[in-house]
Amino acid sequence: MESSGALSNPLGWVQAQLQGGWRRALTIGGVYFLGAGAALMIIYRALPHDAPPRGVSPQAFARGVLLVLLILQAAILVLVGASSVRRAVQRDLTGGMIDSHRLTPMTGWSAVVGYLSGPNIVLLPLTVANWLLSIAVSLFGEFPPLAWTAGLAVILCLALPISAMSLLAGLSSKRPTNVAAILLVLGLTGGTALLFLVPGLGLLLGFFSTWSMLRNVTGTVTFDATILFSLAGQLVLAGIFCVAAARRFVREDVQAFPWPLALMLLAFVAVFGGSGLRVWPEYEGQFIDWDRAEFGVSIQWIATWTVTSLFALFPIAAAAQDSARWERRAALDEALAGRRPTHYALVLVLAATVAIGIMTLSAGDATPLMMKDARTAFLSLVFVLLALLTGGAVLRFVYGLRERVGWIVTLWVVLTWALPPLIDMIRAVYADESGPTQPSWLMGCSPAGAWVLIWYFPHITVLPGLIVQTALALATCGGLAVLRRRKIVRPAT
Amino acid sequence: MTVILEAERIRVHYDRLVAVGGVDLRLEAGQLMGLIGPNGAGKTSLFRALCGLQPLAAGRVRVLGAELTPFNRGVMRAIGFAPDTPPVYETLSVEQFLEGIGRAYGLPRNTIEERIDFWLDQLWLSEKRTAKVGALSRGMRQRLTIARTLLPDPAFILLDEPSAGLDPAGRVQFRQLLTSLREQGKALIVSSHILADLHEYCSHIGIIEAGRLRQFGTVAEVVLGHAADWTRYRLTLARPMPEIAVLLPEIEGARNVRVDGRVVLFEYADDPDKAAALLADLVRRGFPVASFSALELNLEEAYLRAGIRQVD
Repeated sequence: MESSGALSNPLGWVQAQLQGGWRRALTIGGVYFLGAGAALMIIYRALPHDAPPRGVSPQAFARGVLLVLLILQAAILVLVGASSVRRAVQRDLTGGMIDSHRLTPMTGWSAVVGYLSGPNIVLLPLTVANWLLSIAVSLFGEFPPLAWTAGLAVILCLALPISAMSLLAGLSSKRPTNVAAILLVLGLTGGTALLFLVPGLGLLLGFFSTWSMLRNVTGTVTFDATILFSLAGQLVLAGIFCVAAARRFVREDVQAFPWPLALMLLAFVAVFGGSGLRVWPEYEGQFIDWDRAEFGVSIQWIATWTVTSLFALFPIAAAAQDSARWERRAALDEALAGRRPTHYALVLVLAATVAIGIMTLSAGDATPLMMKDARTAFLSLVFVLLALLTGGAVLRFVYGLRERVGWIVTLWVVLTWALPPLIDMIRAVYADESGPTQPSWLMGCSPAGAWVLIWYFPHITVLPGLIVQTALALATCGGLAVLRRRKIVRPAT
Repeated sequence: MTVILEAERIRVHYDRLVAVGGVDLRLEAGQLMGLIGPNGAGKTSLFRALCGLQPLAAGRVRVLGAELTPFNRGVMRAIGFAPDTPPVYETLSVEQFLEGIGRAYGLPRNTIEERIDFWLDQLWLSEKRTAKVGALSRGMRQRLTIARTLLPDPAFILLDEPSAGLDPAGRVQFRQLLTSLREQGKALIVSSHILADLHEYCSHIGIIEAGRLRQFGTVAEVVLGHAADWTRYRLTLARPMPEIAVLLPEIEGARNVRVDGRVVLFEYADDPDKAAALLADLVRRGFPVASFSALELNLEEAYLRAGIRQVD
C-alpha cells in the first residue's frame, strides 16, 4: 500500500493518485526546475554582455526573467489550477463517482479541500521550482528576493476564489464551465473596463495595487492597506464560494447559497462596491485615459448600485425557492414537511437594507453630494425597492412553477432592466434632433435607467417610469397573492 | 430486534413524473428484502432515496434511528449502496480504489489494509489487487463494487442488480455472502430479476410497480398471497376424466382449476385436514386418484399472479 504522504485529505489523496501521485508530480517539478534553470543559463550566456545599450546587464536580464516567471506562475495557479479543479469535478460528475463520494461520511468541507488540493498536486512542485528559480535570479540580479515571493502570495490569493468558483460551477452543472477561461476572455475583450466602471471589482481583484506590484517585481515590497484589504477580500470570497461548494457537494438539490449565505455575499459585494468608490481617487491617476471625466463618480455610483441591486436578488431568490419547495412538500405531506422557512418578504427587506446601507456606509466620503439631496436619495431608494419587490414576486411565482428558473429570471432581468434603456438609445439614434441627443422618460422604466435620469438628467421626468415600475410591482405582488389564494401556483405532481 | 431502516411515506418526483409514490418500509437487523418489479418501476429511485442520494419530494428516512438528511454525514457510515452501473476510477489500481474508499470513511490505516485483504479474498479478487480497475471484466467490477460497499462494514446495505454480471460460480458465492451478512445482523435490500435466487436467500419480498409497493411481506406471505391460507395442489388421475373440470370449481374453496389430460392443478385451503377431506370426497365420487400433493409455490408465480405490467 502506497504511503499516505503529506496529503491526508481522503478525496485529495484519491485525486492525487489519479494525477499519478507524488512521484510523478515531483518528477515533473524536478525536470522543470532543471530544464528551466539550464535554459536560463544558456539564454544568458547567448546574450551579448557588452556595455549598454547593446549588451544586457545581469540586472536587466534578471528583471525580465522575474516578470516572465511571475506571469507564468499566474497562468499556472489561476488558469491551470482552476481548470484542473473543474476537470476533476466534471470527471466525477459524468462518471458517477460523485455519488460514491456522497455516500461516504465525508463532509462537504473535506470534499472542497480534496478537490482544491488533489487535482493540483503537480502545481505544487512547479510553484516551488519557480520560487527557487526566482530567488536564484533575484540574487543573481542583486534584487531583494522577497519581491517575487510577495507577487506569488498575491497570485495565490487571487487563484483561490477563482478555483473555488470553478469548483462550485463544476458541482452545479454537468456542462463544463471554465471560470478562469471566461475571466481571461472577458479581460482580453474589453472586460477590464468593468474594473473602472465598478471600482469595487478592481479593488477586489487587487488590480489597483497589483498593477504597481507587477511593475516592481524587483523592488522593495510594501503591502499597503488597500492591497491587504484586497487580499483579505479574496480570501473571504474564496471562503464564501467554498461554503457554497461544500453545500452543493453533499447533494445536488441543496441550495449552494441559502439566503443567509447569499445575504453575506451581498454584504461582501456592498462593502467592496462602496470601498471601491472610496479608494478610486487614490488610484485613478495611475491609469492613462481613465479619468474622472470618462468614468465620473456618479456613473460609477450608478454602476455599483446596479451590481449591488442585482446581487440583492440572490438572497431573495434563495428564500423564494425555499418557500416554494416547502409548499410543495407540505402539499404532499404536511406532517413530514418540516419547519416552515423564513418568508421571502422578510429576506427582501433584509437584502434591501444590506445592499443600500452597507454600500453607502462603505462609500463613506465618496458618497456623491447628490445623494445627500433628499429628493435624489429618496427617488433612488424608491426605485431600488420597487425593483426588488417586483423581483421577489417574480422569483416566488416562477419557483412555484418549476425548480430551474435560470433563463426565465435572466429574461425578466433583461426585459425590465436592460430593454427600456436599449429602446430609448435606439430611439435617440434615429431621433431627428439638433444638438446632443437626450434620453427620454422611457429610460426611467428600468431601475438602472431611472437612476441615470435622476443623477444626470434631473430635468427629464421619472414620473412615467415610477408609475410603470409601481404598477409592475403591484401587478406582480397582487397577481402572486391572488394565484396563491386560488392555489394556481401548486406543486407539480 | 434492532430496527435498522424506517421509511415513512417517501416520494420521489422528477418534475411531473412520480417515480416513487408514498412508500413505507421497515427493516430489522437480519432481514433481507428482495425488491422486484419491471424496468422503470422505481427500484433504482427507491434505492437512491433510501441511501440519501435522491432528494425526497416528501417523506422521511431513518437509519438506525438517525434521520437521513444531506448534512447528517455521520449516518452515512451505516449505509452501503452498490448501484447497478458501478462507478469506478478506471486508472486506479483495485487496491488504490479501495484504499480511497477506506480513507473517505476515516478508517485507520491498518484496518483499511485488513479489510481490503479480507474482501478481495472473499470476492475472489486477490489476484487483481494491483490491476487497473479499467482492465477488469464486468463481473469483476461488480465484485469490486460489492467490496467497495461492504468495506466500511455498513449496517444497512442496498444492492441494485448485484448478480447481473456474475458467472454461475460467482452467483453461488454471492448467495453465501448474503446469507452470511444476514447472520451478522445486517439489514439488506437487493433488487434482482433472478427471482429463484431471491426466493432462496431473502427473508422479505417487495413487489414494486409504478413507484408503489404492491406487495410487501415475508417470502412465504408474498408467495402464498396476502392471506396465506391457500396453496396449490396437483392431482393426477389414473385416466382422463373431463367432468372433474366441472365438479371441482363447485366445491367450496377450490379455485383456478386447470385440467390437462390426467393432471389437474387447482388452488385450495392450506390445511392438511381439509385437503385430506377433499381427497376422500373425490375418491368417494369415483375419481381414480393416482397421486395428490401440495405444490411448493415460487416467487415467479407470485410475481406473475400479481399482474405486474411491463413499463414501456
